[in-house]
Amino acid sequence: MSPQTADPLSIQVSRQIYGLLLKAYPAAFRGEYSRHMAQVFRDACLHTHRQSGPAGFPALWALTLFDWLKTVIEEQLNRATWMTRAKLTRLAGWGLITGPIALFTGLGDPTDYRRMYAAIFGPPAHLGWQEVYRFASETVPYALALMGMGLISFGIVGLYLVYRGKVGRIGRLGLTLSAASSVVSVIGGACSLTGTEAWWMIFLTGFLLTFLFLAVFGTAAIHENPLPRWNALPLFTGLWFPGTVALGLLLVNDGSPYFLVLPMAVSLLGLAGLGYVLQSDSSDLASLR
Amino acid sequence: MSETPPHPESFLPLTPAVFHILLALADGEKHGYAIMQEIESISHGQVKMGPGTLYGSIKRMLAAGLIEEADERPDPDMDDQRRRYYRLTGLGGSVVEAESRRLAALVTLARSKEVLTVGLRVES
Repeated sequence: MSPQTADPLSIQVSRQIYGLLLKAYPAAFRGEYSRHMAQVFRDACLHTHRQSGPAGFPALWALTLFDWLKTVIEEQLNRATWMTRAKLTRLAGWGLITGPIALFTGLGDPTDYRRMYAAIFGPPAHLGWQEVYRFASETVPYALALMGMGLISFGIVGLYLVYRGKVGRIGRLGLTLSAASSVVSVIGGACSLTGTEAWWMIFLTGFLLTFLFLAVFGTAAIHENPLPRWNALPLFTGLWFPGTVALGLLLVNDGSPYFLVLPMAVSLLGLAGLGYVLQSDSSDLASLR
Repeated sequence: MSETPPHPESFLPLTPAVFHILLALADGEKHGYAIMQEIESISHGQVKMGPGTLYGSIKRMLAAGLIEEADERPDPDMDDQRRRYYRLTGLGGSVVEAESRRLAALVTLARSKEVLTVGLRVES
């Protein structure tokens, strides 16, 4: 006879009931821990039976049921959160990959877009269509730029949510302020439709600060390695654009916008690289559950 | 490049369940029921943990690297069932120390504000 079949009837019945209650836990949790939880519950029943006899079982069951209800809810929510978190991380990664493309495209000169359209399709023949075409060539790039900045902001927030617990105070501060600056930049960009110069300055300042604070996170990432790979990338991405613009302003100072294009493209490529890192991390998150 | 372990302070403040489990493991590896008994003993019966809370916390602590699984073997003081033993990692030791220092600082502050008088037992 096994030790468990020699248990008093009250313990055998309690174990059967607890075994049924364990089925409410998520499958992964159950597979890993249900045997040990059942074992611990049996130990608790034996201890209670030795101390107080059957009279001790109502109190034991009150504690057990409260513990069961609380932790079933926690584990089921945790399972749902993991699935949501993996999806969110994957989407944020795509935001950092596609956002720079949209932003870079949207920051082009409307005149260039009109020339491109004319080269491919020929100039618009009808007057009404010309107006639509002019409106679209000015509006679509703006919408692309705003959408791009929004996607980048979403991606930076994703970086913050995933890596804030893996760096110290300085890194967390950098991520927090980078995420906040990106949101400010999006708001500034959206409100610049009103034509007010101040909103345009808010957009530019937020844009610049997003990269600078990303560099702050990058200095922590170099030492603490929170990313699964390419821990130098945040610092490179964060410093490249503001750094070369500042250098260009100091050395050249001819007001030409073209010296902005290459450094911005490099920084935006850096963001896409971070998006790839986030993507691959989301696969790891999904596999944990 | 190997990954740097997270800062112990990034785990603070600990939940009571996690803190008590780390304390229970501070003096050696234990299996689940032994952890529960140790917690009830060190808290003078005030903290009673059910299996769900215990293993939910163990799962999260394993994932965070605060504890690790030792082996499965019978407890010589109990029956001959094989039981999974757990032990503190270096990080877990640093975290429980950091939390203890944090709580000690709070007690010192409470004493300085005369909320807690030395020698006075505070009844819950």
